[in-house]
Amino acid sequence: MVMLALSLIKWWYFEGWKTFFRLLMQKISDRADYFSFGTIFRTFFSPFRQIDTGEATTPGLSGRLSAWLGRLISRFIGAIVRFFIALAGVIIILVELIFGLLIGIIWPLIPFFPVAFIVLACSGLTFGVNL
Amino acid sequence: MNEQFNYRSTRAKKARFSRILKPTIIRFLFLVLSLVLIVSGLAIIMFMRNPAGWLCFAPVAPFFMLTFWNKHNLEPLPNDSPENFMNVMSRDCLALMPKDPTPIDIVNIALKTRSGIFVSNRFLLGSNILTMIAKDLPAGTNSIFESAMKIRNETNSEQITGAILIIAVIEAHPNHEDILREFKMTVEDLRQGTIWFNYLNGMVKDAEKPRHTGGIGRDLAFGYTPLLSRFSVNVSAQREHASRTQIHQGDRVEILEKMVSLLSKNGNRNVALIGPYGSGRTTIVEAFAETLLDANSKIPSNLKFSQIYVVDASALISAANEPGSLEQLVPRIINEAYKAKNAILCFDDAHLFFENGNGAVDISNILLPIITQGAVRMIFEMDEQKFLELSTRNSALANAFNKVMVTGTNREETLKILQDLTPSMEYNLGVIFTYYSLVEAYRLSDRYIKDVEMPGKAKLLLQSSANFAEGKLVTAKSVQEAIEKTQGVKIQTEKTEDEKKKLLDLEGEIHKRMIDQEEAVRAVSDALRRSAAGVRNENRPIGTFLFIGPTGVGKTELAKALSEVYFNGESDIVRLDLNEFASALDINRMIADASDNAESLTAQVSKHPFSVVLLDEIEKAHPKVLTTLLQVLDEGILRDIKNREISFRDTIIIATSNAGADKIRDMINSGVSISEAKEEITNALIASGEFRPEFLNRFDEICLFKPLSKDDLSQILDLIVKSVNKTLDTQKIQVSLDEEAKALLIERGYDPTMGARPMRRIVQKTIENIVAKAVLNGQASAGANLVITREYVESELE
Repeated sequence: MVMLALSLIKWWYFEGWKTFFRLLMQKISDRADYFSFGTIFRTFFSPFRQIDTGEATTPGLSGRLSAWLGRLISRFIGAIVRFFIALAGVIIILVELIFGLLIGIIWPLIPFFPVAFIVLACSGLTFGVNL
Repeated sequence: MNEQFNYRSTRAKKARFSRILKPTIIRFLFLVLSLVLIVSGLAIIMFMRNPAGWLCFAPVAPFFMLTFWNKHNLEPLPNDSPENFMNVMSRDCLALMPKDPTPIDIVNIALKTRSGIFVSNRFLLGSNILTMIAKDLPAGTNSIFESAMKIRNETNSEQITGAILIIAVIEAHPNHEDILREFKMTVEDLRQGTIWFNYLNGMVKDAEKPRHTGGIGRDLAFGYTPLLSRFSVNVSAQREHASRTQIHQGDRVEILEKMVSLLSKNGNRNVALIGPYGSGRTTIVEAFAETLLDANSKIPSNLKFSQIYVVDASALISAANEPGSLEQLVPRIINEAYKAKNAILCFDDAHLFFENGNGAVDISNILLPIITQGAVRMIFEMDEQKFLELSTRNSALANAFNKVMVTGTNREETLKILQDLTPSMEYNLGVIFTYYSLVEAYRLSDRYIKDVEMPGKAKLLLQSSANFAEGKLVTAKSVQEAIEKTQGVKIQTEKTEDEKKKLLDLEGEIHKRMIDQEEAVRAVSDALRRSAAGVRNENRPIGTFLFIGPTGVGKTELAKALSEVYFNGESDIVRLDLNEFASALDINRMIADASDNAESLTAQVSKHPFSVVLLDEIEKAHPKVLTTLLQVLDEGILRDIKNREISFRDTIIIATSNAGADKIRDMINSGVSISEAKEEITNALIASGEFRPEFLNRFDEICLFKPLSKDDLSQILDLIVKSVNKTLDTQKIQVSLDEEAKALLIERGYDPTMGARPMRRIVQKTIENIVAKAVLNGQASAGANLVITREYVESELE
């Protein structure tokens, strides 16, 4: 058992720590892919689902103007939708990154948590509400 | 190299510990316990104001550490360096290994692992056989472990798995080659089984990796396609969630690259995949759809995340039921594809869109300008023949296509593809395919299934063999049964006792209906026995024989007897009277397509590939006809008028000739033996120019039929009477001849120049007439036995 415990500790501070950060980066990458920032920014002002992007249906200036206006609205809607998707993605990724980094920072301390909690129990520290 | 098993090594301990932690219930307990402890701890501290609550948190960190360690280190248990046996053994084997393993322990452990079970099932190597082999081995396991290391290197396996251990145990046996031969296996086959497992395992791991297919922003830039979706199937949407299509061959990879190149350029943005049915055109389209969906693939951005829609011809036809409606509907669909900006239209069996007929609709006039402009990307899948027909009918359209040829796959590629397909086929069909079922599916489909290309035909055969599974296991025998039932051929070399007996006494069976001609009967019987035992050359017909002799001595009768005894009955004989092929122009009639002439030689043999082919009166055929037949006699192949290969490799070809009949008769009468006469007759036939030497040389054997003697005729008469009795059997009337009547019939029926035919005629004139009259005047009724005397015969002959 001692050999196994030593193996665990050795792994925890070297391979384990690296694995944690690799998984964190993988998660962030997958999340970024899900929100497809590249596509969203590249097509930021593209018409939303190509609605109203056809040629003018009626001849003359009014027809062309109407088509232009339709495309403009479609592009505007597209930009709004993409902006909010990108914003949601950035917030989610930031939260995950911060949370992950915090765990990464305290990673070396985790094996000491049991001792720390025993010390806290002995110190008599409590918090919370009075019933 | 000395490979010692070390039970106390850290890696072995890790493997055993992982086995304890592995059960889902343990991990679930850890999670639940952690949550309970955290909640309890908080409750105690916050509500009870008791610092002992901190103690509840203490075990949570070790639980988390153990779970994380197990998942990312113990379960995968990566290899350690240096590369020795202990450091590369897979976790599942290592975890079960006792302190001092014996060969039997190794077998038992291997059979509990996934890879071990895989090899055991695919090669029908049960625990009994393996334990029996292991029992014969010496107690030490070092040689097994050394062998396992070697196999691991040779099969490029990452670790030493249960499958490798099984092979190592087998190879450790001094007589392993003999043992494997008994099961019709080789060591190399077993190694291929390991490679197969590694490959499938890799596919599973690959499928577990997250796919990057564009995310939620992907479709925002592309348009809606409601009409297109109604008349087509979105292959990309199907492939997005399906297992990855595997493309192994270099030429397939090149085709994909060519498709990317052609469809990403401006101008004529189409690809026409031209290849035979079964060659994998649809698989290429599926693989192409996956390439387009892969965010990491290196393709031009204008193709990335494009969707492939396979247009449904029948849906179009059913929707456009009024004149002119199709001309309105198709442009609307294409316009929608154009506006969507990411749609690639795919026309499977594209000829259906360029001709009118059942299930077909001609929209070439609508498509041609769009194809030439390249406004919408298109993929066409077409059969070679259909493309040639289209080229002659509409050259402008054919020239507008960017042609990419798709050819069939070879053995190695086909086996790899079948191995890919087995998981899904096994799931759908509820069976397990053995390694040899795949090998046999390739071999037999290559030989017997025409008009479909590899790998399609091997896959079709494998699917149909599921109907012949034994206990949900598809073996090589199941595949053989499937081809026998679908193609009407006999290929199984494992015979029942009755079949073996029949084959060993084939001469006796044939002599039940023909007399004498021992040499010819033995020659054809030997050929059939060689074929049935699987020792013949499979790239030739079962046997090719030239029967030479006077008329009426049993040449045709032997062919019929053979067909009845061994093939599918006398009616299944493929017979061609070559006196009808006396002109060079008759060759076309001989190799005509079945749809034009169902009686042509090629049409009959393609319908009855396992039969006797009787070429009567061959000396009367035109020399060019005989030249055409040279390839059949040599390689068992004849190309029909449409250049399709027709196989004669499961036929016995018998050519008959009366040439030199007088000479044979004279020689035999003067006491020359058959074997002596044969050489002289053959030389005489060549010298007279009746047959060319290269033609005669193509036959396996030239059999001389000797004229019938009076003794032979007596036996023939018995056979004819027996045949009359068989006809009368339904009326329960029997006929017999007394000795005097028999002698008279032989005397009158004997004609050395005409053989047995005069005898048959005289029997018809006498016996059959006598019986007919007896039946009509009431002398013979059911149960009667008519004894025909000399007087009866004489009265009929007068």
